[in-house]
Amino acid sequence: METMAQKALLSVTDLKKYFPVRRGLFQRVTHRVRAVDGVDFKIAQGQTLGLVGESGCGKSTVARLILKLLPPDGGRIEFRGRDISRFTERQMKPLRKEIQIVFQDPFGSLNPRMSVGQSIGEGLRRLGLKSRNAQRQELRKLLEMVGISPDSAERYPHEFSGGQRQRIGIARALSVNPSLIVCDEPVSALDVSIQAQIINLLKDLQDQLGVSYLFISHDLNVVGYLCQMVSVMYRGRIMEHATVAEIFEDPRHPYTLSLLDAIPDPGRRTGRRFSSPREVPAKDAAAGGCPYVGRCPEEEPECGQPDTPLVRVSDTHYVRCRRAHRG
Amino acid sequence: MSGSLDEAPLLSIRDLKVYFRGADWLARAVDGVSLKVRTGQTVCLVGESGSGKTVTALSILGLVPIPPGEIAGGSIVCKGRELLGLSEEALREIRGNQISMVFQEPLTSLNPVFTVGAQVREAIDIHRRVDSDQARARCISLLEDVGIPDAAQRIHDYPHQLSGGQRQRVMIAMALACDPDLIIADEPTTALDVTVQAQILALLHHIKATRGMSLLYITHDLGVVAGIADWVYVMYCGLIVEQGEVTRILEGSRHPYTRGLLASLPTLAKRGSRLYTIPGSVPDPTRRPPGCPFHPRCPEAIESCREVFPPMCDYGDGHLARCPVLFERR
Repeated sequence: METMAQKALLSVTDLKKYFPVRRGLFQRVTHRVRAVDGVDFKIAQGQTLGLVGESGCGKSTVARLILKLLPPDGGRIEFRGRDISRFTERQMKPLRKEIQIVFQDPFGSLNPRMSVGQSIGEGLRRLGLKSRNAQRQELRKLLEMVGISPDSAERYPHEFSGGQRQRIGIARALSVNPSLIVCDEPVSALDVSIQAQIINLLKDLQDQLGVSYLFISHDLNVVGYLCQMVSVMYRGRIMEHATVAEIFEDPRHPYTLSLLDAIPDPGRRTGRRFSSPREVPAKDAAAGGCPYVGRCPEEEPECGQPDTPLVRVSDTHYVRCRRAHRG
Repeated sequence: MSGSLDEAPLLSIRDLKVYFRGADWLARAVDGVSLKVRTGQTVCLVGESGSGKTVTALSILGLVPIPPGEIAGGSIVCKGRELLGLSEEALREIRGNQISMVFQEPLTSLNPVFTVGAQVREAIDIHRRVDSDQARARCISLLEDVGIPDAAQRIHDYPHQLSGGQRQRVMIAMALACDPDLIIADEPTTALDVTVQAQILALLHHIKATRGMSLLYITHDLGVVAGIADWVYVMYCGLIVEQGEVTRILEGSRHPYTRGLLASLPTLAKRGSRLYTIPGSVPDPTRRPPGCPFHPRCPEAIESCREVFPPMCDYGDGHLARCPVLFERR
C-alpha cells in the first residue's frame, strides 16, 4: 500500500472506533464493540476505492469517521497530507466542501420541506456565491449535469422518483466542488433499470471532474465494474486490499473467496453451487486473533493467535491471513 | 426440472386482474396475468418495484386488502380447486397447509414478543392435531431442517436475538410446518448480505428438492434467478412481458425490457464500456401508458406501440414475449 503514498488524496492509517456497550442499572460500560479496528487504506486523486463487506462490518462507520461525523478513537486520517483526525469542527469547516457524501436512502436523505433548489443551494451559499443570480446559474448547471431538468428547482423531493432523488443527492454533493465523495451504498435501494443510470452518472462525473470516490457497497458486481482498488472489510478490519483485477482473478483471503462465490451472476448459470445450506456461527474471536476464525474453512490452530500478519502479494495486493503467508 | 408439460400444474393463474381504486384514481396493479407452477418446479416472477409481482403473490393467498383492492377478474386454481372467492375459513385451511409464504422482511414478519419456538408451533397447532410434546419435537426438527444450530436451545430465543439470516430460516421453518405443496417466497433475501443470501437460496433449493415441493420465487434480481429458477416470468406494469425456461430467458431473451435489464447489470466483464441503460423509470401504476406500457422507454418502439395492446409472440417450448414490434417482425 505504501507505493501510492505520494499521490494519495486520502490516507487512513490504523483507524479505530470502539463503541461502548452499557449494561445494568448504572449503565456501566461492560465492553466495547470494535466497529473499526485498525483500518488502513489510501485513495488516489481521481480514483475509486471500493470498500466491500457485509452489514455490520464497519464500512459505514468508516464513512462517518472520514467525514468527521464521528470522532475516531485512534489512528490518522490524512487528507492532502494533513492529519484531520483531531481537527475541531471549526478547523473542519473549510474541509467540509472537499469531502462530501451521497447516502444510500434517496428518500430519507433529502429534506421533504425544502425544494430541490433550496437543498442544493445550501451548499452554494456556503461556498460564498453571494449573488442570487450566480447561485441560480450554478444550480441550473448542477441539475443539468446530473440529468435533471434545470426547471425543476422549485419542485419538492416527493415529486421525484428514487433514481431522480439520488441524482439530486449527487448534485447536492457536487455543489461545493468536492475532491472526494463518499458513496455509501448509493445504488442498493434503486431498481435494476435505474442502478445503471446512476452508475454511469458517477462514472461520467469522475471523468469530467476528476473527483475521487470511496464507494461503499456489498455488491461486488458493482464494485468490479466501477472501482480501481478494493478493500475487503470484515468485523472492523481490512482482510484484503488489491486492484479489482487482483481481487477477482487472484483472491487470497478465504473471506474474499466466499464473497466472490456468493455473487449472483446471470452470466454464470453454474447456479447450483450451493454447497452448505447451513449457517456457520462465528465464534467470538480471541482479542487480536483473526476475526474470521469460526467461519473460515481453512482455519488452523494458530489463527486464534494475535497479530495476523499482513502479507504482501504484489505492490498493490495485500492480504491479512496466516494461510496466505504460506502461499 | 420435473413435472412434464402435459401434467396438470399445481398452481394455475389465468388472466388475473387486481385493481386498486381511490377517489380519483385506478391502479391496474395486475392486469391479466397468467402463470403456472408445476410440481417440483422453481418459478421466478421477476420485476422492478411497482410491476405487480407482490400483488400477484398476495392474491394467491387471498391477502390483497379489499378495499381498496378488488379482484377484477381471472382465476387461481391450486390442485384443481378455485381459490378466488373462497371463504376466509376455507382460505385459512389452504394457507400454510397447501401454500405458505415467506416474506421479505423477517424482522417485521415475526412477532417480537413471542419466542421463535412458540411462533413455529403456532403454525403446527393451527393445522395439525398433535399433543404438546409432538409439537415441540416437530418444531425442533423443523428448525434443524432449516439449519439453525442448537435448535432445542434456540426455540426459547426471541426474534431480536437472532441474526437476519437466522430469522429468515425461522420464517422458512414456519412455512414448512405443515408440509405445503407450494412455498411463495417474496424477495426473501433482499434484506440480507450476499453470503447469507447464498445460504438461504441454497436452503430453499435443498428443501424444495428433498420435499418435492414447488417454489414461486419473487425477485428483482436476475442473478438470483440464474441461481435457482427453472422457469421465469418477467413482469412490467402489471403484465407478463416475457416467459420461458430460465436459460432461454437469460441467454436468448426477446423482449426489449428483459434484454435491457440484462444489459444494464454491472459486471467485471463490462468494465471500461458504458453500461446500457433503460431510459426513464417505471411509470406510476395509476398512469400506465396506453398501448404497450413499455413503449416510452423502449429503444425499438414504433408508432403502433402507442396504441396496440402488445400481443404475445410464441418462440416455442413455452417461450413467449409480449411485444408489438416482435409481433410485426414475425
